[in-house]
Amino acid sequence: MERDDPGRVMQRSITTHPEKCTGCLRCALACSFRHTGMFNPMRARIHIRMDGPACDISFDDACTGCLACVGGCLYGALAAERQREGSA
Amino acid sequence: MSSKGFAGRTAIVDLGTGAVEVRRLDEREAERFGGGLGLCIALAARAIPGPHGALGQENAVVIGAGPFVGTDLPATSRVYAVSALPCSNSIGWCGAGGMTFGCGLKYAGFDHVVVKGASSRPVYLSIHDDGVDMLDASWLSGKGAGRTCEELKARHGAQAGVLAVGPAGERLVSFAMAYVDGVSTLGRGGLGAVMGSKNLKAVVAGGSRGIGVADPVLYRSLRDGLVERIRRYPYLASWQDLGLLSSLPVVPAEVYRRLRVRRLACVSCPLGDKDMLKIEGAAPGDIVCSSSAVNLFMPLVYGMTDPLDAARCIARLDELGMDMFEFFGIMRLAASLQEMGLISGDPVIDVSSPSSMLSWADKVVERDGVGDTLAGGFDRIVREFGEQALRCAPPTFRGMVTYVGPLSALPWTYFGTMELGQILDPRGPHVGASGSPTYFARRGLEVFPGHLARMGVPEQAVKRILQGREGAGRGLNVGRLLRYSHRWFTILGSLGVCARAQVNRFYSAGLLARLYEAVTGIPTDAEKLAERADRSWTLLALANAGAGRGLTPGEVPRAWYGGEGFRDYVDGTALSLEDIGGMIADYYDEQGWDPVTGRPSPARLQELGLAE
Repeated sequence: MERDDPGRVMQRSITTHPEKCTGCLRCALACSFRHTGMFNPMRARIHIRMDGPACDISFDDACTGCLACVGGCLYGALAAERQREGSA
Repeated sequence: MSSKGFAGRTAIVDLGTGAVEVRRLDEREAERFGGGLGLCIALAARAIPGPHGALGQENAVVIGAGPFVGTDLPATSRVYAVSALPCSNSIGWCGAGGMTFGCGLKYAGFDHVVVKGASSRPVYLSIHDDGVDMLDASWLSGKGAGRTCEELKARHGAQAGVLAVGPAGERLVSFAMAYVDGVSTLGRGGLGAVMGSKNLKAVVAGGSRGIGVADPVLYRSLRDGLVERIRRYPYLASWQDLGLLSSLPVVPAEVYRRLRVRRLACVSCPLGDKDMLKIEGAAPGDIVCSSSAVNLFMPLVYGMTDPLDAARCIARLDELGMDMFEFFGIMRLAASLQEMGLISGDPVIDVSSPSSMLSWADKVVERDGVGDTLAGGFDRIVREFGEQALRCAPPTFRGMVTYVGPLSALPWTYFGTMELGQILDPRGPHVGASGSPTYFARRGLEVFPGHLARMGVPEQAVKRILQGREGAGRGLNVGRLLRYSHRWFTILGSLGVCARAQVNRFYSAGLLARLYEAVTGIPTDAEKLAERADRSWTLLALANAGAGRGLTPGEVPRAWYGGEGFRDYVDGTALSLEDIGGMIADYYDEQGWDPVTGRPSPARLQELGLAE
């Protein structure tokens, strides 16, 4: 599993901003529905961990970068980047 | 039907015997009542003998989540409970933002759980893929609602949802509530005490099952359009930033932003209207979560001056598991009784003093001295102190403070559906306008037809609503409007959609019907949704009317009418008791119920298939 730091651009072209995350899990729901046809964040390839004030957003190896999670996020915690490599 | 919106199972747990029965969802009942809140009411009507005896073993608690809960439709995490409640002696609904609990219940494979009987020792329920376990909770006894949630998540996994009571529930404080994930409140009127009477400390729910939809193509199309409209909503950013503070600015925005750690959201919510704040000394790590920052600062309306003190006070009440409106209303009355020399005890009762309130909160929960009387709520206080208590009590209805209106915590003047709803909902006073446009004061009448059409109100009824009181011409008939607000609220609750004005505005009755069909596969249109909601709400009224609890105008709080009372929503004229009585009769008439007793008429029961 990869950890993702604020502002880091991943190979999958998804920029994460954990400070904006509210824990709504819309990203994980969209992901699980896209890839399994069912809703359950446990079946998602993106993982949101809220631990007190800290929030961690991570992706597992099965992530294809389909951007379903980005489409689900309404808080700006996930964003698609055009370039596939580089810094935020 | 399994996994198409509905999880497909109902659990019936007898805490007295430890027996757990798992039943397949009754598909006919699901179709008749919609799901969620509606099915909670249907299950409760069978499981609960009547509105009295809330703390007896014969009472049951029905907890459930609707068919949209667990999907990614926006703001569809609502969880409901129905039970006989001790404050109002009524069978009432309780609703909360579900955080992860509602979804957890669904992902464990259950739509509803019916909890009967009482355990002889503290227990909690663990609801998971393979069923329901009744587990020892003695190690949680005396722990706060938030702390209990943390410890159960540590044991059962962070993705599990937790519904828990604090020490107030354990000690049967009549206005104790339950808490969802330590954030949302569930059960004004004493659901926490009901759980305490059953020795039920908490319910944990989570699992690996998935929730599917019947028509994925239609679902995606409808969902994407809905999400796009929300994304384009011009006030989305400000609501995500300030939430309820936008309309109830109890503290300046800069104070709030300075204390805010992050906004929190129930699963699938686009607004994130819950809050995590950093308040020194309020909790371990100084981190406090609340269903809204507005709640944390509410003691400012009772005279406290320091927002941090106010937040520390509410954080303590939340951890103890007590309803803040009821607690402060009772302490106001207790302060008067103390001034009159009728009660003693240290320290001096002062609702503007943080140290006084913190001290008395502990006395109430410990049931220490006069704290025992106060823990029994308004009815117990009036029984013990009689007329003198009645004379200085704040406006109450059926043993609970009416927190909106003259002489109340929120001294709003104009009489809309939230205000009238405090006495026309079987459960008694509660927060919420039932999705009605009157949530905001004195909106122009020109906005109403659009809102009412969205709520699925028939055209003829729209005319009656906009004829004003007694059909006098242009105006707003709040009684007739409330009838359709209750229907709209029941539709939303039965599906699992949040009724907050800032969220339900994106939904219409027609869209909900199409979504219901896409999710569950049950053929549906707006009229069918309305009929199911009417069936549910009428059944709730019937369950309460059986004990002769029809509302009479004489029960309307005295402060509500006359010179300093409520004012007409449109023209601002002072309302008389006759005016309010007319609205009550109009509400009943629009429901097809007896306009005097409020009892559902035989003809209406026949129409709704409830005659048996």
